[in-house]
Amino acid sequence: MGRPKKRLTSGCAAAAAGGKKLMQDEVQSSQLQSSILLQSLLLREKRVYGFPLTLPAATDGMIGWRERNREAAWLCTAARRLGLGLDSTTMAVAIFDKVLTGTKVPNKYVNCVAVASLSIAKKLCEDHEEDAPVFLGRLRLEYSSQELKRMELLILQTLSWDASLPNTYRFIECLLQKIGAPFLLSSIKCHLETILCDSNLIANFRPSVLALSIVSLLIEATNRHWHHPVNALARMCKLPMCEITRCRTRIASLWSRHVLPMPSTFHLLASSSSSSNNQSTYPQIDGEESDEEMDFPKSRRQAVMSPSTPSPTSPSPRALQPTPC
Amino acid sequence: MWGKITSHIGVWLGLEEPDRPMRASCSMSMIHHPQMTTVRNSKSSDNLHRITVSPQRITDVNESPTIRKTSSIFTLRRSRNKEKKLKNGSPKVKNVGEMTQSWHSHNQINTILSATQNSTPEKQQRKDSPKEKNIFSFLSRQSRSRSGNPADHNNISISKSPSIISPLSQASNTSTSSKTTTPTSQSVADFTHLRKRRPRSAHYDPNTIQLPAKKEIESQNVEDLYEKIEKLGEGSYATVYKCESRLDNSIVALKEIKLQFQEGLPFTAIREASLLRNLRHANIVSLHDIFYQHNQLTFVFEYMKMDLSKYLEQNVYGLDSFEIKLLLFQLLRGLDFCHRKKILHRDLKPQNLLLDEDGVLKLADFGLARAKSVPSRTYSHEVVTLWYRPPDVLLGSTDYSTSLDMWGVGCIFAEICSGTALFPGTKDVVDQLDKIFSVRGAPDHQKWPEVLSLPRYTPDLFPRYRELSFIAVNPMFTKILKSGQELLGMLLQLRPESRVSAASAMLHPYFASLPREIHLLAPNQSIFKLPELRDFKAF
Repeated sequence: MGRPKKRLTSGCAAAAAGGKKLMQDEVQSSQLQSSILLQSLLLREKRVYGFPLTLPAATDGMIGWRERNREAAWLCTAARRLGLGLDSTTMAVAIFDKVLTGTKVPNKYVNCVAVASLSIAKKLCEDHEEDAPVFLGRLRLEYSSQELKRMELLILQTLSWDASLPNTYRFIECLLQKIGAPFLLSSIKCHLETILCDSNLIANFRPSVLALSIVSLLIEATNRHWHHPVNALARMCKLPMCEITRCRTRIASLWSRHVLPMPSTFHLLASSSSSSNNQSTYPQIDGEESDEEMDFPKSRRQAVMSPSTPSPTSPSPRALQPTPC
Repeated sequence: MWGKITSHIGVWLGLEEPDRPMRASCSMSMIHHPQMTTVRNSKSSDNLHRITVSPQRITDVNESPTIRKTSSIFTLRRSRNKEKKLKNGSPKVKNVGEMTQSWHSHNQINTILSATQNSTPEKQQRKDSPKEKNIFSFLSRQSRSRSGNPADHNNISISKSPSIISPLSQASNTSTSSKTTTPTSQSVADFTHLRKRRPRSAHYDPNTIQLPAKKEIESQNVEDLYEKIEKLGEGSYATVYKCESRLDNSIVALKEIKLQFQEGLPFTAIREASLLRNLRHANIVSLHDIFYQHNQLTFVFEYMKMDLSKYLEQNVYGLDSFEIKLLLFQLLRGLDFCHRKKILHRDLKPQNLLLDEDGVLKLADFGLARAKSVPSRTYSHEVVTLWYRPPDVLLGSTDYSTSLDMWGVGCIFAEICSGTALFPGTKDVVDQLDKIFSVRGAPDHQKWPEVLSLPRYTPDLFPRYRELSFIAVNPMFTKILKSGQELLGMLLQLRPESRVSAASAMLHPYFASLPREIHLLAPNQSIFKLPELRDFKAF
């Protein structure tokens, strides 16, 4: 930015040299930009969240972590049904969590809050616009547009209109950009969704820690020497390595509990090249947009799976379970 | 000393027998107090607590923001204590008024903390209910009784520093403790000055009224806060007014968005609000406030004198060359800030660039903007007004990036030079593409191989146009010299990957005549802060 500039020159040769110079600048500036984004996300994260997350007094009729997990699972399924990207799903869950931790939400309104969070996330992250009745119709919900609008307004006021929260996905995106491997993003849809539905992880680890742990697991899948880049990233983000290690262990155990194979080079390559037939895992999905999901042969999935039952506190995003008011 | 004072008050108020001193009551905070020693902690309430607090800690009480915020309803009692102490000649009399604070909350769990009047308390004695066998029994009480029976009150006075609050918050549940530590949710009106008679109890003042918690700003009407002066413009979904604040007479722009009955919240409003909350820059319009009233959203923006399109209407032959340079630099500066935060504006046009009297340019209208995602992600190609839409997007590309905005910058650069739009398509996308290719040349498959894979591209649809020099298009381009034309060429590259970025464009030799310090300014500093440019008034 503050580099001294060349004197005003004219002529073709000078112009060509200037162009080359600018291209070099561009490479440097793209690296600079990703770190600027990372720093600003970290700063915002510090400002927006107080960790560990706690729900307001869990009295009768108020939402608890179990309900939160159920609704997060519903959000993931609904986002898949609508064909939304992973960024919208993560944003919706982030907004939902921010509302739950900020205010007392009675159980009967919880699904309405989830729907409005999804709607806001969709409006922020997606380009195709659709009217509220169409949106509600596609999710087979019985709320009126007016109700949805009122809830959206309430949520936005709770967030003081700052809805684009720093979330796990944005950190992963930024970190992968930093190490030059953004193509790995498309392979972790199921994995990230499982994490979003687990309150133990979400409440105890900051989005940046979660993101770096996921990234470290991804790097480990492709390279045995994953310690060096992860250490460097942790130092850059000023995150303690012990926390990352703790988070990694818990994520790995969560994935194995949910029958998700650990990412490996084979999977990463397979997922990016072929389309998915994950209908067996998500039978209720209309199959509108499943090409980004991980694709594993069923036999392999069973070979990898561990026989443990899923934890009751973290349902995987399997069934569409609307809980209407 | 303290025992003496309290018993004096008791006698004076007619509540105590002179020979029965008040007993100290107990709260969770006291139990966890590190410096508290319980002399006798029995089931009966005859507890005497000895607390020793250093004078340093007491000064902490005065500095504590939490405690200072609280509004006391025990004003009279406080003032009388003051008088008493003045009579007794207490050495720390000056601090008394500030330290004396009491909280009265209607929380489910009533934990009342108050800073004591006594600066060196040794024994605190207070009357407690004879019914209370257990010190925890107050936890189950629903609310404080206002019967006037002092026995019902579990009030406690201790000298405490803010650090003492934390054990309490751990002991009781979070919400209660947060309410207890920040009791600003209750506003108290004090009518002690109107009082004629003595209060029935030393613990509360019947002449004070508790008002319900209200957020003052939100309850106010927009019309009460701002006075409309004139209508500035009207769009498809919003109307913009110039308004004057009734509070400080400042001029602002109100953007009123009418919400349709059936539709949900417009995504443009959500995006604009969410993005502008985090974009604070001298070349990006700032959003002051948001109101929602009468089924209408109101955004309060800073007021700008006019937009660039209006300014261009006044200057049919384009602007002055130095002015062009300054405006372009500011545009690039604002855009670079957005792109660093991975935000695409996606609707750059002269109508969305605002100008103030000093020549400061600001980006506005982030309704179509979005945070940039992974490159594989698809976007809508129906973005940007046709005239300022890049050829790759016109040909159906959806994986555009920051280069989308850079094409728009090029078009605007050309427009402020010549006074007219460079590619004024009149009909449809094909006509627009024809206008572009007639100036920039038809796509060369060697230089731009990706064009073949674009959905709307048919190789022989357009004539084999040659690339023209800008001077041949319009002689007005001579005023930006060779370096300006070179930069314009870099901005208007057909292949998106070849287009120059905002950060690199700012380093182009075209801007060599600007002071070097212009690159070192903080984001919220205007370029006119520089001494070299301070005297330059554009308009």
